[in-house]
Amino acid sequence: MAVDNDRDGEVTFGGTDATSETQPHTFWVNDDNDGTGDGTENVGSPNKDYTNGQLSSKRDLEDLSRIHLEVSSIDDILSSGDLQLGLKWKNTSDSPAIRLYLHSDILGGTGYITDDGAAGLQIGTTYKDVLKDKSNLSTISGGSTFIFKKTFFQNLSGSEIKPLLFEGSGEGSGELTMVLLDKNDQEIGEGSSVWLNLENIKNLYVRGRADWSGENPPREFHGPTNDPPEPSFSFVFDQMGYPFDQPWYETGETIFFVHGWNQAYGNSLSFAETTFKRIWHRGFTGRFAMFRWPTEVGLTTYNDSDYKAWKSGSALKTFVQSVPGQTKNIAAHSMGNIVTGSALEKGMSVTNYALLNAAVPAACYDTDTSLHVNSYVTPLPSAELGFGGFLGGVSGNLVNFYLPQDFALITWDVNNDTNKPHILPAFAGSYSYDPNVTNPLERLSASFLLHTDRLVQTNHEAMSYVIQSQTWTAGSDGRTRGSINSDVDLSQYGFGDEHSAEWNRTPQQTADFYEELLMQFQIFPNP
Amino acid sequence: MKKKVVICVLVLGIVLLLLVQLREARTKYPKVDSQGEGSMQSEPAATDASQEIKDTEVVDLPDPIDSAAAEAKFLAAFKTPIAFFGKVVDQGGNAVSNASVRITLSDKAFESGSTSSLQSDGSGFFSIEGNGAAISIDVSKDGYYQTGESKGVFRYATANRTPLPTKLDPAVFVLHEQGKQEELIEIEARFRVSKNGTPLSVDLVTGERGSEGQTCLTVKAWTYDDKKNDQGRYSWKVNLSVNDGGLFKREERFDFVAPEISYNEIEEIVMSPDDENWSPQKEKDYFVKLGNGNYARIRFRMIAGGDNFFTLKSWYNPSGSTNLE
Repeated sequence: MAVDNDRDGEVTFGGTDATSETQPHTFWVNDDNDGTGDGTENVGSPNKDYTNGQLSSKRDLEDLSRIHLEVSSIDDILSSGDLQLGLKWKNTSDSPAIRLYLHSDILGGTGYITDDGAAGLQIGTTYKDVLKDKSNLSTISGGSTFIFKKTFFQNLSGSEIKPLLFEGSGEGSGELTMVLLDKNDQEIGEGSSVWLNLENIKNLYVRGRADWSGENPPREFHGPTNDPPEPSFSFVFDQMGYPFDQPWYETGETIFFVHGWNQAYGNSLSFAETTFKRIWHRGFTGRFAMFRWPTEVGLTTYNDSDYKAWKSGSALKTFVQSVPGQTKNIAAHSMGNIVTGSALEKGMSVTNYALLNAAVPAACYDTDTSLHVNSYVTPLPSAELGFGGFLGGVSGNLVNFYLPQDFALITWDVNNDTNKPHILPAFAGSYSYDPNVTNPLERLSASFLLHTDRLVQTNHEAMSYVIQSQTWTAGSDGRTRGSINSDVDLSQYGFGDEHSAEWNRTPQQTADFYEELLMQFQIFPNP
Repeated sequence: MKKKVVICVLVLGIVLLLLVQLREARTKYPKVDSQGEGSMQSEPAATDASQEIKDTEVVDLPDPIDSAAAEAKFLAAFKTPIAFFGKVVDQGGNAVSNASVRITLSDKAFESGSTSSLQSDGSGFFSIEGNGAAISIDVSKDGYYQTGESKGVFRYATANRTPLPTKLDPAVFVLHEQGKQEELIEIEARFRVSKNGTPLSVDLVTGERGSEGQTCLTVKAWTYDDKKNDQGRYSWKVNLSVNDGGLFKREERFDFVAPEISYNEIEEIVMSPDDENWSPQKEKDYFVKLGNGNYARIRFRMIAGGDNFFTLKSWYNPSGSTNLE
């Protein structure tokens, strides 16, 4: 019996795939709900996928790992029924449980995760149902023995292995052991075993949350002539009842993920967990960490969230400093790139940074005027509170994953056109820009109903509420350079105009993207 | 009764404050119209120079609007009328008829847009009418390669500097006509390689690690990522060689015919931390003349540092022809 314990994409018997009590194959319990068809990630659903007895969606397949049985020397006698093969747990801690599925690939490859056709076959009629034993048992748990039906071995036809997929259906660790039984179900011997460690996925990655509930929350605008106070942002590790359990195989690479705008906490966890699962399957063995920042939720909250995003940079910087890692990489989506840019501008240090669909003006990174596609009357250089070069000095290997048609970034352009300078609802106040004022630093102002008018003098407030960008976003313009080193066109993965295709599409449709993401982090993806 | 009076006074006070605010907001933007009172407001000139606001220059600004009007304008942007005109041509500028044109209209805020498709006419022209904040075009045709000019996104609801396509001046989309196709052996592989120059050979026929045979490409890399500078940059270099053969840099994407001479025994990619365009990775295309006299073209991408590996795509022609298409 073997698993891909070294995560190189190959299941081998013994050698680097060997497991032990201290080096178990660690995987997550399939306790989300991925729906049907292509599927959608639904974290925290009461209808957990491991309870439904079948593989209902292509997305559900990323919650399965591979296990291979090698019974070629006894397959004849097993198929006759004179000898029976069973699986049972030994040396357990807590309550590990798994459920098995036939693998549609007789070679037991990784196509179920990377190939749409293979995934379609896997969730099709022949392979979708959970494997049941001769007594109709479908879960291997506790002290019971799962005894394979003799028909299970009758179509082995000389193949050396019997490839299976398993999902975790109970948390815990233990030694899953092959046992041989006579025709009367009496155990007559033991075969090989694999050590498994099945955990809640939240035990397998780190969460940090910007703690903005203290004094001076963002968007607390004061008069009479003062700038808004700098909010007291820090971060807290957010265990949510699932403290990080460092796996034995952890290497020195850390990947941080920063979500975008308009995501409730649950949605951002869903994006983070999808990212973790997909890079795990491609062989990532480092630490994964997600950062939650206080985006507002609702379609009219864009500029306010943008401001909060800029203010969240210091908390992200502290979080990244607090999570260990020899090589720190960060992937940020959409407005999460404001948070990340802000942190970098404050001195956060990372080796590689993947900007995914970045909702940040290209001008922030690159002051090349060939990027100036708009004709707004607005300040340009960051020294005059414009976007120009605000992030031009940040260091690290910045890679711009851009999508020219991205619908959200086209909406960003419209927001840039119509909602800047920003006007608060119910005449509560407004921002303005007057280029006719002599001093460039006195051209931006804020007028609030309950406060005396004041000048806008900070970049964060100016960029979020007043300045119109002369460029598109970096996330829609692959020409952006400056502090950006290179680019990857996301349309090559067939993402069309989808802003969040990396998470909303199936694991198979996004396999090439996650492979490229790892390569940009100088991490060798498995085949 | 006393309570009602207090509430009335408060309401009146708030209304008064609102009026003061509105008045102030209006006076913040004294409209200065160089074209005379009542004329249409002109758009800012579409030049870089116009963005440099001079202290003495008086710039005309739009009237401020309230938040409800701003929201209405925001939503209306996705209903902007679009009349788009395009033309499909090949690399020689010749019209390409019956090309497939995929269209996406960005007609919803924060959602995927409506899609449709049509074909270019006998003169390569096509036109679309619709509504949206932008229109995305993706042109393709069997027997043609897409180029960097086969796609485009055109924004209609924002202040563009460049004029939008018209019937007389349509947007031009370029396809590259394919030539004679050969039976090529195509491989795609990825290998870790030592950071200290230990050679690794890959057989361009099988894609497997091989001995240094006549169809093998040999890769040696030196990566000094243990000596990073303050910016996290480091030196690295990689050597490519072919036994009894050589490599020739392939610069043009659609150049499929390998030269017969002028191959270099070794091709080297060098990256220094001081390079303005430093990157931990580099991708290059080469023609390869192999030891057995046959030709291949390869796309080699070195990813230096971390796991230190390279990716290799190869198209090998076993016939001996220099055509590698």
